[in-house]
Amino acid sequence: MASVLRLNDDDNVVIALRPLSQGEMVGKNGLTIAIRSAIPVGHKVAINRIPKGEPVIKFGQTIGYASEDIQPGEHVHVQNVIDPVKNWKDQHPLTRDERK
Amino acid sequence: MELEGYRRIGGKIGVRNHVLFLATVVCSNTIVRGIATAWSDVVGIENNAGCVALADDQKFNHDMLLGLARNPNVGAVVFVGLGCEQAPAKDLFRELEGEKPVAYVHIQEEGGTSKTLEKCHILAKQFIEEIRNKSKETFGMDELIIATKCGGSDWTTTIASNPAVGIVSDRVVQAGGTSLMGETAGWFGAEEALLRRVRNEQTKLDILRLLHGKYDESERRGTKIEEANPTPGNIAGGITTLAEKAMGTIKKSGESPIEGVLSIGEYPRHPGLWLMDNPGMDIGSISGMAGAGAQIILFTTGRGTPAGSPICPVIKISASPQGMKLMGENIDVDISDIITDGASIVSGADRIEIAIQKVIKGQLTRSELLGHREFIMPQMGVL
Repeated sequence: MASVLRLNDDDNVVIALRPLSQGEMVGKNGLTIAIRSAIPVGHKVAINRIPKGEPVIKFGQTIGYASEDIQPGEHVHVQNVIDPVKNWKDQHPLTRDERK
Repeated sequence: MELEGYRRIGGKIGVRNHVLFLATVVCSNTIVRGIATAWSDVVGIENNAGCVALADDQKFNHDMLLGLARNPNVGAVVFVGLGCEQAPAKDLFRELEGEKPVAYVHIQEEGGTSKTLEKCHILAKQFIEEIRNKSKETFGMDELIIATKCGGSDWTTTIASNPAVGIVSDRVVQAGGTSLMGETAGWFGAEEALLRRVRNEQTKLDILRLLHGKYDESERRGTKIEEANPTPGNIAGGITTLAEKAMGTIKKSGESPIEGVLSIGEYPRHPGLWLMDNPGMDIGSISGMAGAGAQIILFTTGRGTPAGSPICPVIKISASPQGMKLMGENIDVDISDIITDGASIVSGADRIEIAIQKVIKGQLTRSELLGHREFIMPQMGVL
C-alpha cells in the first residue's frame, strides 16, 4: 500500500494515504522523505523546502503561501500556510457597469 | 464508445424512456404521487414550489419544469397543475407540444382529486403503451451529455474520485460531447482557475457576476463566504484553505475550456464543458442538472450518499475505503484502490467510463435499483 499520493509533478506537497508517524521514511520512485511530525490521513506533507512567502502547490495549483519556512517532511496545514483569500469581494472587483 | 439510446423528435437522444408525471405546483403533488405509486412504468416529480413566488423563483420554476419535461430521458410527460398557479400546466403543455407525447390536467377543471386521478390513470396507460416499444438506436460520445457532482465528500473525493471524473469529463468533451458542472458556491476560491479556461470575455463576466450575487446574498444573511470556509470539518480532514477546497471541487470539470454559464433550467447551446448555476445541496444540484438536459450524472462521494434522480441515472463513484465499507450498497463504481493499492487515477476514469456504457445499455444504477428518486425545485437563497 502506498503511503502518500502526489497529484501533480509541480506539487511541493503530497497527501498522506494513511496516518504517518514521526520519524517514518515514506515515498516511492526515488522520492523518500522523513516525516517530522504525526500526519493524519488526508493531510499534506512537504516534499521540498518551501521558503516563507512561497506558494504551496497541490493539484499543480497554488492553494496558499507558506507563513514560515517549511522543511521537507513537515505537516503543511493552517499553522504554516496563509489563505490568499482574505476579502473575496475586494480581491475580485466588478465595476458598476459590469455588475449590470 | 458506441452507445444506444432513444431518439426524440428534434434529434436529442435519451438513455432512459420514462413516462413522467410532473407537478407544476405543490398543490398537485398528491395526484402525482398517486399515479407514480400505482404505475411501475411512471416516474413522478413532486414540486416544493410553483406559486406566490418572486420573479426569479418564478422563472426558475417555469424553466425547470420545461427543462425536466424536455430532458431526452423523458419519453412522454403529463403536466399536473391546479389551474391557478404561476406556471399553468396548460401553458407548459403548449410550449412542449410537438416535441414528445405530452398532456396536461388542471385539478380545478377536472373537478377535484378523484376525477383528476381518474383522468391521469387513463393518460398513464395511454402514454406507457405509446412509448414502451420505442426502439433504441446507436449514438456516439459526441451526443453524450453528462453532469458532474460531488457530495458527502471527504479527503478522498478531492484527490482521487473528482480528478478521475475530471478525466472522464475531458474525454467526453474531446469526443465532441457535453459536460456540465454546477455547485456555484463551490467555485469561490478557484475562480482564477476557472476564469483562465473561459472561451470568451462574456463568460468571465458571467462567472464573476454570479459569484458576486451569491456573495452579497450570503453576506446579507450574515455569512461571509471566506469566513465560513473551509469549515472546521474540512480543516480536520486536511483542507487548509478555501482555494484548496475549491480546487478539489472543480477537479470534476477536468481541464477543458469553459463554453459558458447556464442559468437554472437552461440547456447548453452547443457541445463542450459548461458551468451551470445551481445549488450545492446535493438534491437541488442534481435536480438542476436533470432540468438542463443531462442524460447521466456522475456523482463522487466519500462518506457515501443514496441520492438519485427521477429521470437521470446517477452513477455513484467512491475512492473512500471507509465509505465503501459502510455505504457500498449505494456505490456503483469502487475506485478505492487508488488510495489502498496505488492504482492510477486514469484507471479510475477507465472504470467510470465502463460504468457509463453499462448504465446506458440499461443496467440500473444503485440509486435506480434502490428506488431513490429525490427531487427539489432549486430556489433563490439556497447555497
